[in-house]
Amino acid sequence: MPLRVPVAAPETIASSLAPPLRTASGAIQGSNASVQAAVIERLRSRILSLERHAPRRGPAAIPETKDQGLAARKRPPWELGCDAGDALLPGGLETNAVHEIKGAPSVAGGASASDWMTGIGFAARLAVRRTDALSAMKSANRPWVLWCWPKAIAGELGSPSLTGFAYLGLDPARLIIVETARAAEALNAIEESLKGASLAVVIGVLDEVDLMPARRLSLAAGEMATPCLIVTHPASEPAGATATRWRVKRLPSALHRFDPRAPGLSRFEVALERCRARPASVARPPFILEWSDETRGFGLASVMADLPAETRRARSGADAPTLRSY
Amino acid sequence: MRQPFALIESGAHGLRITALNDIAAEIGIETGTALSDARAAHPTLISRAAEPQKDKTALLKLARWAGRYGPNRHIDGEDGIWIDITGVAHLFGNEEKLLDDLIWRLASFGVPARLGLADTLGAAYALARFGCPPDARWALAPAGETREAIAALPVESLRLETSRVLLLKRLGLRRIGQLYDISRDSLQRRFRSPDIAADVLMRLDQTLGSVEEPRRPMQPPPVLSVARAFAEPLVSSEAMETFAAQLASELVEELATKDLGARTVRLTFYRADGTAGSLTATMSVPCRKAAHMMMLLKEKFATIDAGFGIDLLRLDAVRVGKRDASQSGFAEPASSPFRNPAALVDRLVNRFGSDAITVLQPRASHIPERAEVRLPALEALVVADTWHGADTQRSSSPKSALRPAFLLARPEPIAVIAEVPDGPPAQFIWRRVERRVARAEGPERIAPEWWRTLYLDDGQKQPRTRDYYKIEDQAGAAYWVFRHGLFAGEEASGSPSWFLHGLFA
Repeated sequence: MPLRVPVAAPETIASSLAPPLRTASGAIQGSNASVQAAVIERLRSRILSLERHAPRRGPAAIPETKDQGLAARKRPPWELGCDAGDALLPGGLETNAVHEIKGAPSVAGGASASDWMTGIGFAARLAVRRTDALSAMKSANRPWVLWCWPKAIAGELGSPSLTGFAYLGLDPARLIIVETARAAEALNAIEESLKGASLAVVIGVLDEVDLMPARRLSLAAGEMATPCLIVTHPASEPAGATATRWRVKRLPSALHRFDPRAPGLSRFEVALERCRARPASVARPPFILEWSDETRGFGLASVMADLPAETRRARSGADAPTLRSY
Repeated sequence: MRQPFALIESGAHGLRITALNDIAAEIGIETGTALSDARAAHPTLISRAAEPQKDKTALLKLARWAGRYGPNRHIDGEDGIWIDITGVAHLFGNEEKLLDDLIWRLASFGVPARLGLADTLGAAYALARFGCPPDARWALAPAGETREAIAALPVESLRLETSRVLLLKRLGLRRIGQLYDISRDSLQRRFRSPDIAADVLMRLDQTLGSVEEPRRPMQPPPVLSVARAFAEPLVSSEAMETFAAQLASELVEELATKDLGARTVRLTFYRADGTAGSLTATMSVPCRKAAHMMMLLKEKFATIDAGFGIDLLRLDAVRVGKRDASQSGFAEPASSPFRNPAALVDRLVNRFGSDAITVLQPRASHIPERAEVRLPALEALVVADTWHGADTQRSSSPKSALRPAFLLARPEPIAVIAEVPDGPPAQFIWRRVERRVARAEGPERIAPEWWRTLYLDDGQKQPRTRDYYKIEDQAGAAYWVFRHGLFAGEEASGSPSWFLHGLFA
């Protein structure tokens, strides 16, 4: 008996070769209504997928080119440069958030110019780390930095100096300085610049930041992945909505390589007071960081290196002196 | 029943009449007569003191309103306005309709006026003051036919002084047309002094258009201008935004045809009651994006008070710069994750003023406060990678220029205990706090620029040599101080003083 092999009818073959849209609806000669239903189903799924990608808030859905820009801005890790510091932060500082830096108050309730300078120095060096990481990315344009503070603070501390900032490591040709009449305007300017997506980092120096403005700044920073470093008055109330909060105290600098009477590399005692990504880091004791001008990074300051060479050799037991290169 | 009315002012011989209304003129009173004489002849004459200051203000207001007919306008004497309506006539249909519209609006304000329209300022002046037929309110000289149109006008209309007019009349030249026939040399020979002849000829040339007449418009005339009139005055701000956006796109198209970008745009709005206002937006880079212009202008829309309604909107490009056509969004979508900061700078400048946003630029000097300057970002923003210092500073050793991150605006004097003659400070008092110095580096000697002080008098203070030190106090904070003057040498005349110039970050 010959096998009766079912021979597929031409219509059904065509239906199996047809795009999945049609098979989902069933037979190809099905009514128009089923075709329409399939089309509607497909459009519905497409709309759902678009809606899932659209932001919860914001003027419009971010188009694809902006997505790539966003990823590129977030990509290079923003790290302190030393293991002890980087162990505190998973994956480096967050590039789409606000970080607050406070100096240590020396006088009760007040702050001298040098207390401000401690916080500003740490913030500026973090900004140098950020711009260096971005410049290494080989992008077409070099990143810009915006410095924003109200006139009251500017009068006390002076004006940013071209050679001074170049010495620190920030490119002065890529610096925009905003000096506003009032602190509220400075917050406004910082928020506006965070939304612009054209800056590597925004550094603001203010007396204090209230909760609402801090939240707005966080949202603005998150939207466009522009990090914001705010240096606040050492004795003021800390702002609430920041990703990290650092308390920085300045220490006597390291020993100068050639001249023991000259100031050496600057040293900071750094404590992480708040860390949103890893709250356990807050419990760690403060540690001492030293900024190296050549590597443009932080290193853990070691007491050993300050001792004269002979004592070092005796203690470490090595024959050749291990000179610290900095 | 209207009465004769005169404005009077007190002069050397008592009260004199300076202005009359039409009824008083009809009766036969003339300006310049004494008030007592006029009153004696016509007892019904009413008079008020003339207020020339208020007249000037009113004329200014009117001239401001007249900007709806052309942005290029200025005041003529005490009772006239010159308006350049090149390119505006199409908004009203044709030139006659424009003149009718102007006369009608002025009449609705209660301002009787006579208009003259011609190719040149001088011809328009002549037509307005001497050429209007008695029943019409305006006179028009068709384009290119100025010569024929003003030939019949008297020589007073050439804007000459009365003595020169008298001279011309004595020579028998009463109409401008008579001046055409006479050759210029013979006219020059007629006058005693060459100045008078030159004056007359220059005015004639200006009126006929062969010589350009300098003008001082009330506002800097815009390079490009687009305007839109509304039959129904706009009252709501959304309507204004919509139409302003349309004007912005028109302006951008015109700019594109000329390869220009706008640096300053001004949106002027004219209300139906004769007042006007304007908003300005400045851009750091020549801009040809309507969206950007609108975003900068939109921030100030809230300050606009529509009043009785806005019936003309005009968008001028006041300052422009060259900007070549560029394709946006085609190449490098991901290789440039950062956008151009010029747009951000524009927004900040328009919100906080152009002095609030600055950039640093180096200057050729080794005096620290002169070695750099802060310029408004609007003018000095350089987005291209042209500053070569940025590349070299990374490769050079960082200790080559030990400079503080923040320089005080003026070096502050400090009281210092230091080793004489060359030692760094051991302790110092700054801002009433005593600080002990733990470490110091220096001195770095910066001498004053001798080429700037060559010609100083003895009374003026000579700048002195500075020895800069980086000092660190016991807490670790670093300062940049200098000693002003030396203990030995030619500067030993005064005792040196110490100043704090900057703070290290």
